[in-house]
Amino acid sequence: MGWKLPRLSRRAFLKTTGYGTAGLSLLSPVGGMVGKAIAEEEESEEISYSICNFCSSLCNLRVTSRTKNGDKRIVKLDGNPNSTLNRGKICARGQSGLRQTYDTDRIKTPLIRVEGSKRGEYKFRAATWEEVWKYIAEKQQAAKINPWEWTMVGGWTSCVFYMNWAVPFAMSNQVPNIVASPMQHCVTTGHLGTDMVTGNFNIHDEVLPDFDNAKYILFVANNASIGAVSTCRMVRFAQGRKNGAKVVTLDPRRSETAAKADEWIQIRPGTDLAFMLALMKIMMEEDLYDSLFLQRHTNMPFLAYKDDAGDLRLVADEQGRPMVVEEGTANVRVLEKFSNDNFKDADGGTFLPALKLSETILVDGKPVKTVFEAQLEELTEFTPEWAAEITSVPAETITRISREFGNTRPAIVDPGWHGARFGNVLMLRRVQAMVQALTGGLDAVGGWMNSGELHHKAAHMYEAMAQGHEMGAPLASMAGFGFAKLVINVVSNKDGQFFKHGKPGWAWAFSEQEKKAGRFNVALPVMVDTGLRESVEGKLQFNGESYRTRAVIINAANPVRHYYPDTYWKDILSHENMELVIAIDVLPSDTTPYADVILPNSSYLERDEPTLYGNGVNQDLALTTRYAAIRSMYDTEEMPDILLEMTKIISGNTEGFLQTIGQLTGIKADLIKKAYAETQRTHAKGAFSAACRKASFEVAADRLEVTPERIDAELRDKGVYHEEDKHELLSRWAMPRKMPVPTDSGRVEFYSSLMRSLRDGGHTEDNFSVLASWIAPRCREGKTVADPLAVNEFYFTYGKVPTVSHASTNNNNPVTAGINKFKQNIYEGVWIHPERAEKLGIADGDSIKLTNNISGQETSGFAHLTRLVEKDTLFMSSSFGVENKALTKAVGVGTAINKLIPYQVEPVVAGFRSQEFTVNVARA
Amino acid sequence: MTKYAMVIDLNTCVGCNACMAACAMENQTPVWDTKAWRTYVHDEEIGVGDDVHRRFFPRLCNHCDNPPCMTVCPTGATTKKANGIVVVDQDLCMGCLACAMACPYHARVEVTYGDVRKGKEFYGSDYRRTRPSVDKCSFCDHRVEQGLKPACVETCVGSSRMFGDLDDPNDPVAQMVASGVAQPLMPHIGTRPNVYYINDLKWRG
Repeated sequence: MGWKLPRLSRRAFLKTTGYGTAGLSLLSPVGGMVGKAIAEEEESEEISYSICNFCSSLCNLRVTSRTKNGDKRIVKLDGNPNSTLNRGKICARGQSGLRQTYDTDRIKTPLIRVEGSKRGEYKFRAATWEEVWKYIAEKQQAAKINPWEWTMVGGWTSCVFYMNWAVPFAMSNQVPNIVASPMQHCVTTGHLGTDMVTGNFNIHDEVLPDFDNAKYILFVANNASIGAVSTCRMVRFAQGRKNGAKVVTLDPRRSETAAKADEWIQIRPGTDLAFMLALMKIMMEEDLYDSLFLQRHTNMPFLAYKDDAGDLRLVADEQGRPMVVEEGTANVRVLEKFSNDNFKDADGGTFLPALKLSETILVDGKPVKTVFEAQLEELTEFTPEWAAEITSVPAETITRISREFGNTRPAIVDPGWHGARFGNVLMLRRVQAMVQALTGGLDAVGGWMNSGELHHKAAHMYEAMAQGHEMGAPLASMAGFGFAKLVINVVSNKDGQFFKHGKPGWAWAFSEQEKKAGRFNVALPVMVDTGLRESVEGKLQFNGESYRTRAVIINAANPVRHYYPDTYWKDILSHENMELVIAIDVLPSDTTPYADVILPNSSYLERDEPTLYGNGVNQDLALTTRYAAIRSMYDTEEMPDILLEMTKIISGNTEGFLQTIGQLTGIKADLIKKAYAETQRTHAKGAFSAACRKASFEVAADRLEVTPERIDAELRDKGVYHEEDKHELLSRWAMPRKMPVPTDSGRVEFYSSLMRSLRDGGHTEDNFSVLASWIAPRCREGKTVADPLAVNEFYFTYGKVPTVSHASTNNNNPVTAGINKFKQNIYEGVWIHPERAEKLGIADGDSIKLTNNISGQETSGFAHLTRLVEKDTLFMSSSFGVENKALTKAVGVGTAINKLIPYQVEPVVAGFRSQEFTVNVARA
Repeated sequence: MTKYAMVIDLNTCVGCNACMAACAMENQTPVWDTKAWRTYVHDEEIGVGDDVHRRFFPRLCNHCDNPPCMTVCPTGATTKKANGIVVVDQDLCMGCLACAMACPYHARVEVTYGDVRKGKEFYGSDYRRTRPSVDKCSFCDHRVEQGLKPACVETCVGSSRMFGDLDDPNDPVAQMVASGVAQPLMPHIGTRPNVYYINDLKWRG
């Protein structure tokens, strides 16, 4: 530090140049900027608590607001330090969230389409709530829209936060049609695979692996759990990493998660299943499994036989009870139908059931084997050498990783995120769950852990079962897979049991129609879009009558951008048969231009939620909710109030709506009515929502044996109402060690009875295997993976970047948009390996054209040359490519992947096969 | 005495950019200028041939003990506080950018008249700036003085950023630095920086 300069204050500087204070205004082009404020301003700060809205982590937030001269603003969001869910941390989307509330592009009033404009044009005029309700009511009456001709489209927000109203709305208005946004992408396609083994329903809302304590962590086709970001998982993973866990990822690109791996295994897209089958085979052959766990808590020891048609079935007695063989003997024992403990037979005797039979056993004259043996047999050809050829991963690597994983305890293979992509992903996630079960790491330290909420629900569900009484409030009390079956039962029912008009959802009617015609059809079209087009176009028949769809209400969903291809929903919504399209949202999206009316919702920070929630996927049991930090800035309304008003319009059955809420959620109609009488006087908006909130607090207070005021005080003070620690919960309610898992049998299931029944129903594709088995990806017709790609041909993969929400059109947020710009090449470019790019004359930054080899769809992007992607694969970020100019920060940024992805679904749940093709690339 | 420093563990930075967003919101930075981040996370591709790694590298002002920015500042706007934090006095800065040129760590950015106008609209009544100046990370000294951690450290989902007092032998950050497990950037040029990094390449299989 050699310079000795005079300290020159600005005032001194200006004095010496002779201007003095009088001429200062000449120097500053903007008035009022000079000097400090003269008067002391009134300033106060307030802390409130909320829940982040941008992914399923549901991080608890601490919100700081400041009032200056009477103007209150939300100024900072932080993780709630009192939360054991996210441990005081939030990601970039969470931090930026307040700018969604202050986004100038927000929908500020109800909007009605300008006369003469067409759907597809974002031309709307401001209207009052009275006007829009009148518009909708008149449309409903004039077009005589029948209840089954309505379809609800729900985005993630509406599923997670508003199921308590959406489902009663559907039922009381007799609307059997719900298209739920994450189903064909995640919940049914990936999660269902896991569910079939563990009895869960929605994996990322129910399973939070204990990364803190794991010694080996394997990620398969998965970035979202950790790197894209799921904060509640990331904070635990970071700790596990600091503790020295070995991390291995299978991914064709070096995602954020793969960047944190000790080994990044560049696997050919769509072939992860081959790797996992080989791994499973090695673990089972080399005794790298938790034998006692399998024997006691899974259906691996169950006896099975091949019937005359060669189908594998479970042995059962006349009462449908499963059978096992006592280890080392020929004694056949009968077990309870529903149990978590195979060490006790139906007569109360104790023994060890065999995984491998020591001699030939016959039951009813038929030779039997255990599920374990049948599964091992099924895995015979899935050697590391076989997998190496398919995956392009060397056999030695597959063997080594399998042995490392199999020999390390505790170990975690992450359950996986986003399903879809390939028809084999449902089976992939199922095999991953099986592998986790082989380690015994279910509801165990260092393994998978179920949420506090799931434990609580399951425990009470089993209690009710044991005592033989009906459990009320299924939306609040059904745990895991039982809940899924309830939903399937309701929307597919044709007996008029739930819907008096006797019509199931059009998706089920369509499946039936296609099946009868001998065409491709979907076994479990739960909340899917399959058949919607046909229904709208008048090509769907049910019981000899036309089954039409003529009105749609879209809540917090953007199907025009998030379904495939981009024309599917554009065509449906602008079809001449479509009488009415209502969209409910916070910001314009690419779907809102197709609406007739747009109803503005408040942003999450402006809202007192209408109910208390469990603490998301937290392993601890706690309650939480949102407290509005500021009052609604615009002329917005709350979801429950919108649905109540829609009920008046569609059926007039508001009493039924309230009663159904009570029956399904346990929040009694009387309580709500009483509160509503008050809130209608005090709340200009959201009165019904406020009433539900009050009733919800009362119900919770009742259960906890405290006062509602006590709960409110705790939540205002800490943001979470802590009920119980995870270790206490596990000691009583661990599944399957202490309680059954919510599968049909109560055990962890390797043999799937669900697949058995679907097979018996005529679905016999290899997607419906009763055991873990291989399903080949079909990226190129008539070619195997051994056939080389053309010089300009690539596999395709997409994924999230950590600034883009999983749940909201959030790339319009100015903060995250700014970060995206900072990382433009990496986030918005199409990743291509330099060696391949060179052969095509493509340089970094070049405009390129992409063509789908199956559908012929074309789109464009710019090349980002990087070695961080496997040579035969392209990568592109999803969630860019906004077309609506009303989203001023997001429009024109990046490429919309659904311009490149066609409509291809697999037959189990209509899961999108959104990567099952190859792409040709050329310089544009 | 107090001597604040940061240790960044590259093993757990997952490139989520939460720190960029948190800093921007806490310090009201001009997010519309994509070059004006006080802290940023580089997304690097390193390695030769097929041995390629992806590394996330958070960068910010190093609050050097021998800061070139302070040496060249003609107005004395840049000073180093007793607790080690190097700060810029908005009122004294005349925007000559000598500091930005002198800083070997590219830690300084411009906040212009246009930015201040925009900032009033964007940040509303809470906007604290009154004039343009050169800007940089302040280790959130306004928070540190209240016993809080800087905004980036507070939110870091990977617990990659750690903040502490090098003069406190019981501070884990001081212990990490003393153990030699963390290295600063370009220690040979004599700036004596106070941001240290724990390397992630040793963990690779």
